[in-house]
Amino acid sequence: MNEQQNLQIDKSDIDEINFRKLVYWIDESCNVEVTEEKSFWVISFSGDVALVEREISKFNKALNDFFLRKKVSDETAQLREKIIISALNRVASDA
Amino acid sequence: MANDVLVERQNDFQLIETNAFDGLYVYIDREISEGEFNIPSITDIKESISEQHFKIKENHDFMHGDIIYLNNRRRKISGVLNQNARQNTLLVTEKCDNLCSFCSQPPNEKDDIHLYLVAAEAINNYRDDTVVGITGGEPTLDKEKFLKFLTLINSNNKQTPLHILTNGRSFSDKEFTKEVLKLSSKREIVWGIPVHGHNQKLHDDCVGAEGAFFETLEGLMNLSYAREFIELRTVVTQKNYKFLPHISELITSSLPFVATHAIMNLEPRGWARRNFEDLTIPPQEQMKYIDKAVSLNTIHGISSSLYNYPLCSVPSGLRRFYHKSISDWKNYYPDFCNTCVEKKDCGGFFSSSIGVYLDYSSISGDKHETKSS
Amino acid sequence: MRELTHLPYNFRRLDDNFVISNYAGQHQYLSEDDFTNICKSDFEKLDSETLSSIESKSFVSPVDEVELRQRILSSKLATRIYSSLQPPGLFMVVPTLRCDHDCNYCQVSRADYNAQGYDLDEKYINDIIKHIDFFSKDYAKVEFQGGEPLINFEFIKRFVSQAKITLKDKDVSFVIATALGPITDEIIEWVDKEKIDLSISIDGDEVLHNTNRPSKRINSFVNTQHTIRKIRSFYPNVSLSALSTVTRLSLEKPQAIVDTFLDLGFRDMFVRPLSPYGFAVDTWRKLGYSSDEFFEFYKELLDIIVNYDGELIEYNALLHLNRIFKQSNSHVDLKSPAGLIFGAMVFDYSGDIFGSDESRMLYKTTGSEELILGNVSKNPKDLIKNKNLIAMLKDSFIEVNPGCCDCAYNQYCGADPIYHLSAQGDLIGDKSKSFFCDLEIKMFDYIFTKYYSDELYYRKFNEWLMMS
Repeated sequence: MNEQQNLQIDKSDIDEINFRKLVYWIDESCNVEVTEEKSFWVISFSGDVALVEREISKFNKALNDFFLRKKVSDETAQLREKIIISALNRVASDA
Repeated sequence: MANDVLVERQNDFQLIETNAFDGLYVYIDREISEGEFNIPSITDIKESISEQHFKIKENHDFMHGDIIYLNNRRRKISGVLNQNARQNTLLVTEKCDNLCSFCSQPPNEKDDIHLYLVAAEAINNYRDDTVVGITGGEPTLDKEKFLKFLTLINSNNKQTPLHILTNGRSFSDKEFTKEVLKLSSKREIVWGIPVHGHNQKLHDDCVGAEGAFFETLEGLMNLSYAREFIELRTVVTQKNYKFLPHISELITSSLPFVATHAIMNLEPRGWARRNFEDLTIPPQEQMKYIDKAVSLNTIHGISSSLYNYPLCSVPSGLRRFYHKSISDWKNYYPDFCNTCVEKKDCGGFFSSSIGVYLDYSSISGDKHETKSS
Repeated sequence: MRELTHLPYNFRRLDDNFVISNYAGQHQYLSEDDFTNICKSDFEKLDSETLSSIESKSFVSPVDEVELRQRILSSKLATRIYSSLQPPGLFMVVPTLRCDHDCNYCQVSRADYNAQGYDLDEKYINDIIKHIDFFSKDYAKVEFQGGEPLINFEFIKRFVSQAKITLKDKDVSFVIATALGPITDEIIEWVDKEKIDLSISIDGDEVLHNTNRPSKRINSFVNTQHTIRKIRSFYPNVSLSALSTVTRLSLEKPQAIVDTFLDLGFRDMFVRPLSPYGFAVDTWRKLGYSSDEFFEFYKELLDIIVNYDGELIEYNALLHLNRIFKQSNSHVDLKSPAGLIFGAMVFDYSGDIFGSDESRMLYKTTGSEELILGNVSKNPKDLIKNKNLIAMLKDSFIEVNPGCCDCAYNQYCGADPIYHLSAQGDLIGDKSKSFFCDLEIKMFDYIFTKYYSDELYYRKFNEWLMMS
């Protein structure tokens, strides 16, 4: 049996490239349509009921993962890169 | 055995310091041993040496390249840096900013600049390059003097390794730490730093100084993060013996590069002697806590050493951490020990423990030969 | 009582107990009551031992010591990260991808015994050694992997001889990971003379081993058994280590596996689960298992080993114990930041350089060029600037990965970006769906529980910790 569900994602919550990355992983047997509004995205999921439920759940979970990564790691992103580069340089200079 | 050594040439020994109060520090050029030692005319060196006979203590042998001290007032020779000694230690000051109730070298305010200078000269002239201990008081209390000392000993090429006893408080000053490390970058140094408690309350109480714990821990971390080799020392007394495992928990939490943990039984000397009754705890009662502390250290990758314990008080499981540590001139074996088969592996007791300070309950009887064996 | 305040820590429930851990790398195992009392700051309800411990380990601090304790925590964290970023000590060299075995879970996508173009050219020997010299500090362990490295024994001989000259100022050791197919007396003599270690796969008894690891050329198990016995009798100085890869077929046979190891004279063994690389990806349905299934097997195996009356160490457990008590970085697969380059470097038969054995395995099945970090014919300095390497490493700090950031085991566990890249298509992955994470959590849960509640395990684990 088929069903259709829409999800609305605020543009202020996620940038376009990451949004499209999330959409990328939706199972292709689920019919997906993306429409862009001024301040939000709409994703329409349609297909078999069980598939749609599952894909929406996965999508929400991935969205949550994205938010969490941003919140948890943004603050230290530059610092971590510096640490790695400095450590690599140290390996080279000890040589 | 009287051994009249007639020194014919002034070259047989060489003055290294003239500003000592009542004697000379000399570098000797030949063997001299127990008995009488004649110094011929060194008239151009120091006029106060009018008499020329000095007495050498029993069991002391000095070799070519040793540094000895001729005490003009007492007509005695003592060793300063000797190749025959098990340990060589130089006192550089008697001033200190801690007041440990068990201090074996109680502090005073005596002038100490000459001590730093003499120590530097002795190291620079000594023939051997084995490790030399530096103690006090607190050697780093006067930061400038300590830095000067390090500079002076850098002027020779030997890079004598040092074992420096310090309360570590000066190293809470990062700038000072940097200076010290710069001056000792080519030298192997073991820093012997005491931590007697697992928190400020206990540690400060033991060392009699408020704020000591903070500074010592900061200093320890500064040295530790610079990958300096640290020997953490804990003197075991009634106050802290039950907390030994927690001290281990502290050091394994905070100090990633501590090399070793030295757990030390009380030496009844100085203030420790005066306060002995309140401080001492028989080794047997300590062992349970020592065992726990040593286990924690070991599984966290830190080595442990037990110092100043008679071997018979150390259970077999802890034997591999035992050090025969009491220095030559301090050890003493009561008569009871004469029949012990392990005597040669045991450091015995401090000679300062003769009399009421010797805890016979700490001696165990099972290693003694019987008449029939 | 002095006023105490909390410092940051993570926690995890283990049935009726809790384990808490902090950035100082310390942990404390607590009863539910103690944990609750600590959370509610009812410190006077704790016994003095527990209270002293959590204070010494910087879980709580007297109010006037907070700054010092914070410094302790941040410094220890910095140390752990710094220690993970030391010059690499493990260098893997792949003399050939050709193999004489047909292991059904082959992780490296082996090449046929007679295939052409899969051998490392001897002209690269000096370049590889130059890279090893450049990247290592005082110490280097060179591990020959394959395929079956001994098929290209001539290369190994030449390499070792050259390396011992060029790297004479360093502490260098060599190990060959081999299935022993091509072993000859000449090879054994050379191994003995040059002090080379051998690392051998032994999956279990003859049936199990030969089913997992068949060979068209020999009876793998019998050959292995025979060779090991010969070495033990006539060349006792040759150091042998063994590992067992667990497939579905192994799950029923923990006793047989242990018995086989003991019978072959081993006093230590390494039991590892399957990883999603190479042929194992395709055969997972037949050979793979859930983390629960694996763990039931592992618990049984560990119990057999712990109860064994004699010296017998299981390395997977010891690795985790070393991580818990020493935050040791010796195992390149369980550290954070990840062990790419900073744990190991791999020189493939093609001259390509990878940051881990898993990277080269993944490259074989996916062809993803980003996994190649350099080439032996280039300047070693080029590798330092590799943007992919920097990208992979900078996101492998476990403290900022979702799922890991609040985990009580994050100071002991590790980041495995290549695993997650392989299994989920993403370097960080979703730990809630990760077999690796699931297994690690089970492992740590079990180790902590047994260490603190089982007298025998406590004793055995401490013995192993003190030996290493």
